[in-house]
Amino acid sequence: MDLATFAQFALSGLTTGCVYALVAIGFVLCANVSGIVNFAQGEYVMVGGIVTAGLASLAVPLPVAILVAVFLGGVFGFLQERVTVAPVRRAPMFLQATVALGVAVVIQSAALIVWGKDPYGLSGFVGDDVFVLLGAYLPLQALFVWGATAAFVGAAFYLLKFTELGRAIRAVAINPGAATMMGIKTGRMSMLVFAASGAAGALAGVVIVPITSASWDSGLEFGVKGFTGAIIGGFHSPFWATAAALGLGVLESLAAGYVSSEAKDIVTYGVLLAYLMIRGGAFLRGRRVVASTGGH
Amino acid sequence: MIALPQAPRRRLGAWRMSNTVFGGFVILVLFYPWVLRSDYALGAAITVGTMAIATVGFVLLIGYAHQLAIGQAVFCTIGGYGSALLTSRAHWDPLPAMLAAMIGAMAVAYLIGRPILRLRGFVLAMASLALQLIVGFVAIQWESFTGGAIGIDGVPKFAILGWMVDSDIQFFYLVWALVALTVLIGLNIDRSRIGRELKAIAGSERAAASVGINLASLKVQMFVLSAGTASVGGSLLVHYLRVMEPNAFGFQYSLNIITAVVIGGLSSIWGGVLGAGIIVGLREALRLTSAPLLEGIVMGALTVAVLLLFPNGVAGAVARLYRARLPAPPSHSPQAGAEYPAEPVTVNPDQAYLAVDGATRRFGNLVAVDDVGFTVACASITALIGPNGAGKTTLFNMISGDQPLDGGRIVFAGERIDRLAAHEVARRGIARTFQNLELFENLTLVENVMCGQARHLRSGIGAILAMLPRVRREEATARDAAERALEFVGLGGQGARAPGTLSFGHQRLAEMARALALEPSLVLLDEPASGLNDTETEELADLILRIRARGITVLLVEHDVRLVMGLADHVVVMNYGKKIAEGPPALVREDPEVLRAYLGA
Repeated sequence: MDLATFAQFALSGLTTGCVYALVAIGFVLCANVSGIVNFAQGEYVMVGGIVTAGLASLAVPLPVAILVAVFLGGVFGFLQERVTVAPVRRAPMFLQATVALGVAVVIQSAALIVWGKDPYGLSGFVGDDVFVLLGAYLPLQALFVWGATAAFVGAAFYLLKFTELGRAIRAVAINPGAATMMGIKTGRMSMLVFAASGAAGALAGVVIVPITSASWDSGLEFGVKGFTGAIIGGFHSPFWATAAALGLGVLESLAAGYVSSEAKDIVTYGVLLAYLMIRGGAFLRGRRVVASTGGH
Repeated sequence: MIALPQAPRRRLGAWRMSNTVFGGFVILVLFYPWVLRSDYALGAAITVGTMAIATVGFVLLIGYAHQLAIGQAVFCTIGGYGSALLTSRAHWDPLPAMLAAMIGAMAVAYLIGRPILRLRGFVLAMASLALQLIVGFVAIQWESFTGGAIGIDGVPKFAILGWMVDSDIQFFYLVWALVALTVLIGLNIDRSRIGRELKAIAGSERAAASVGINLASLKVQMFVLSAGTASVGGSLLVHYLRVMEPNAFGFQYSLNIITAVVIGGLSSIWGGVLGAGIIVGLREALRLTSAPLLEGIVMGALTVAVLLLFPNGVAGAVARLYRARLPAPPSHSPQAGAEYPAEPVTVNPDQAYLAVDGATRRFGNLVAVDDVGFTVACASITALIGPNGAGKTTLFNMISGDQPLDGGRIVFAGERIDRLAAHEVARRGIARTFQNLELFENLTLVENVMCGQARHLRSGIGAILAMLPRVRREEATARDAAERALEFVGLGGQGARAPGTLSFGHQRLAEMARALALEPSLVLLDEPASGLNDTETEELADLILRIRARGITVLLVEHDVRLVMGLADHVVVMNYGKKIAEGPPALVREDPEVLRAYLGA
């Protein structure tokens, strides 16, 4: 096998995998801390991308556009939690999930009304030049994608592992009842996690938009793929979710490169279906704690 | 108390109401084309009807089985392509083509639902979406077979056994007759044991498993059924439009199905019909006011708003208005002094009935249950005691199937049960109660207890859908048994009440009745005296003795040492996960290690 070709596919896959990873972390954090599978997670990627590109097309300076986009992602996440998550905290899981799906539709349709049907593109932050790595030609923008993902993931891990706040968040994830009794404000943690997930999704959208462009309906795909990463990673650990999502990005790109570009989506969705069927069927006979959710 | 031995068994008001509603519905359908004489109204009604067939099935999935499927329209796609291909390419008759497509859709649902619905919670939602995306993708790519993006045209008109459904009015009646059939199927399920058991699962999954209800299998049944109805809806719409193209039932249609059911009312079969009407009406209204861009945001916002504000939708609101005017249903009270179960359990009293051997359970570094072994004799009362955190409840949950074992084995009546799931353990005749009461709040008392009969009911979904007479007989028998069980624990005649209206002590008794309705040979009682006052505790002790007198073996976890010492034949003492003593109460009481554990020395 030609190394340069392989690197070309794998490294472009890693770049899209970064977006899936940021979405997957959002899924895992929201599910474990708030007990809700946030089906609107992918829409934040769309919001980040379309707002940045949209504002840039209105001649707003790029750094301002980026800040506004990430900030909006955080604000939307926060609003989603306050308006549609907190009121149904005790409702059955299917209902919470349906509400989140409704929110996704609202965000999507709002973007359609504001920005229209056509996709928005954007040139790379430092131009559209390429660089060579292991024989693969990659857009300079990929460095921003990797950098932003590494920065966010690093910050999230530091926060969760080594700070008081991170311990509080993890405590809520493990046992919300006990955490409340220890004086941790679970509602506040939930808000925080949703805002952070929204911002993470938007950040992913911001850095990827020069590569993929953004349109009102591009969030769905990121949502399903981030979810796939999260579920293969076990839905409990942000670390494994990140790893699985990156792997998925690479796998998908290899399939697209070596098989056909049509194979790309089939591979991801097929992986998701097959994984779930195997998890549910083959290895889980009899009595086992079949947990794959942060539901409490 | 006035005895009403011949009182009707059903909740009369609810039964009559749903018959009236159904009658009204039939009349409405019959006269619709003659009142609204316009092609537009007829076409809209056909569109509503094809969607309603899918949404009524979806109510069973989301409202009853509590499973969200984001990609439900994939089954409409399967139905649509199935009918289109089989009729226009293979020249099948439309009816067998529709049925074949339906069977295909149901088979797909079974294939993915059976493994996936064993997983917890929300995974079906995304799995169904993944399936929809894959099928949509294949439909576009596989041009030679599906006609690609253009689709298949020239789909013939519908025909039944050679009789062509020619006019739109005929097709309207055909579609709405099938809507009525779907509604009947739904109502039938709602009234059957399946409806009751699904409501029990919604109330408490744990308690439902503890009475032997197979959660995963019921969810799969509802998923398969909903896939079948979606497929039929898809087939019919394709025969109406005469073409099938890949976007006919895309993601948007899936969302419409979800929104329709949410607005119409998740918890009512009629919610599916109402919702389909509302959604199609809304969509047409937005189209006529030339605001089609608003469709998405209106649908999404309505979904969110209805779920947050009126989670039972339009049908729920209507039903509440009606129910408020109904008198409380009369309760049936059987002859006093019923013994339950009527036939005492007979087992060999010398045989060790339950044998726990080397049972171990670890949580991380903590060994919650450490190599514990003991046996429980037939028709005895055995008590498991120990200080807080001794591992009693964990061990208890290992026996009942709620917790896996990390080592050791549990044998019941000669069969290993330590690998069985909770509902399988229950089906072998081990019943349990819960320390923190897990009654099904959404069912009446007698329905709660009837759920305990699950393992004795033989009629499956086929018999229920076919409305076989034996289903009704079986229900009557189960209701009788439940009422006798209530009588036995001292709650005779209270069957029509909601569990929440009972005192704490009586709720505890109701849980005992539900456990007894399994007609078990072993009951596990988890701290039955906690939260009871002295009188209630005495009554409880008396009841436990009466249970044993029926030949039923009792194993209880208890804090109230006084109760245990007066009641138990055999006591097992645990501390820090280990068994520290075992024997008759008098001996255990003197055991120095037990004294140390309790007094802390």
